[in-house]
Amino acid sequence: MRLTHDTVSETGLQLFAKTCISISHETKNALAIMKENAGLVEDIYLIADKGVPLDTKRIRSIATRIMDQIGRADSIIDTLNKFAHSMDEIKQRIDIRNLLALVASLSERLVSLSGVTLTVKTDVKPVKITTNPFVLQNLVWLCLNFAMDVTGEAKAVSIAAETWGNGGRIRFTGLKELSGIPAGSFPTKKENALTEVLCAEITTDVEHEELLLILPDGIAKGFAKNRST
Amino acid sequence: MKAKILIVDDEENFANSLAERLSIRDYKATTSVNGQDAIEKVSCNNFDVVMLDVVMPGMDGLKVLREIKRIKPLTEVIMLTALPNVEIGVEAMKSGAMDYILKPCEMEELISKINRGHERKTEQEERIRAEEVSGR
Repeated sequence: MRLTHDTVSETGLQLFAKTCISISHETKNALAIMKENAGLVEDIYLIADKGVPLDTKRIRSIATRIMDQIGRADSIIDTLNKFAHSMDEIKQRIDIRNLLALVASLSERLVSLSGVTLTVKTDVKPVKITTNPFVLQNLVWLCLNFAMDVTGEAKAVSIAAETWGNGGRIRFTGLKELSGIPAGSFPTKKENALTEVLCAEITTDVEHEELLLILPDGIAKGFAKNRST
Repeated sequence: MKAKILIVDDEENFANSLAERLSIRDYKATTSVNGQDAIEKVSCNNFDVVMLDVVMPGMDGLKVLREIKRIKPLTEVIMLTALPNVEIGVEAMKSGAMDYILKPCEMEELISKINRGHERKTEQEERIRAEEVSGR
């Protein structure tokens, strides 16, 4: 049990660190664009002072670029805020569709850097379960990383949530090279520790080129209490 | 004559705005949004300075840097990065980058680094020409 606790904590910290790196990088990029565009407005006014006619269309276009980046930075901060709130309660009633949307948003830059296209297919109906959202985000993130490694030349992964028995399940599809994975190489110690906390199960379906994460409505009793106490 | 610059950044809006600001200052600035395109532009043009983003999808900045230094060793490269990373910085210097600059950047600092890069390239070209003449 101690090993599972340590692995869960370590994996959680790794996700937290990766998220902070990605979010800060994205925010810095948005700020850099705003700064260059604000500087450009200054430059245009400086040359206007020297007699070059002021191009109002150009100014309007720069203002639009700045507004776009403010919207982008705002959305990045909203995502970070939602991610931080996932630790408010160890056990929460959640809609898996919202959790997938959040993980997709958090991992957008890292997914894009790896050249993979990620699609979140949302069911019309909510897929609600009681779980530990932070640990589930972590597990989805690890499964997504695995999925991206075995997507092959298509470089496209889809994730979808659906009701399954009394709980729900998440399907990772488009895993074209799943059959080439040596037996026993996935799930690893990390995924196993997280599935234990969530009473979840990971299965792979080579024929349909998909990975299934089956989630019950509830988590292991020993993990329902706040571990910081 | 002012430096001929290539700005390589997957953030197209950043690259374009910076290119416009440099053009206002009479620099000839071209942009590229990925490593492969940047390498093609470097092979076909004689840029004095390349400003190169470190983190890009596909071919990352370090790979692009090594390729640029292989095909145009005299072209000076300034790495652009949103966040400082010592390991990447050291690796970039070892691979031939002249300097690095953090985004968002100050225009005066940027201009100073571009001018220094241009001077270094010009000096090296002159030295090579002089050696060729004395060797004849």
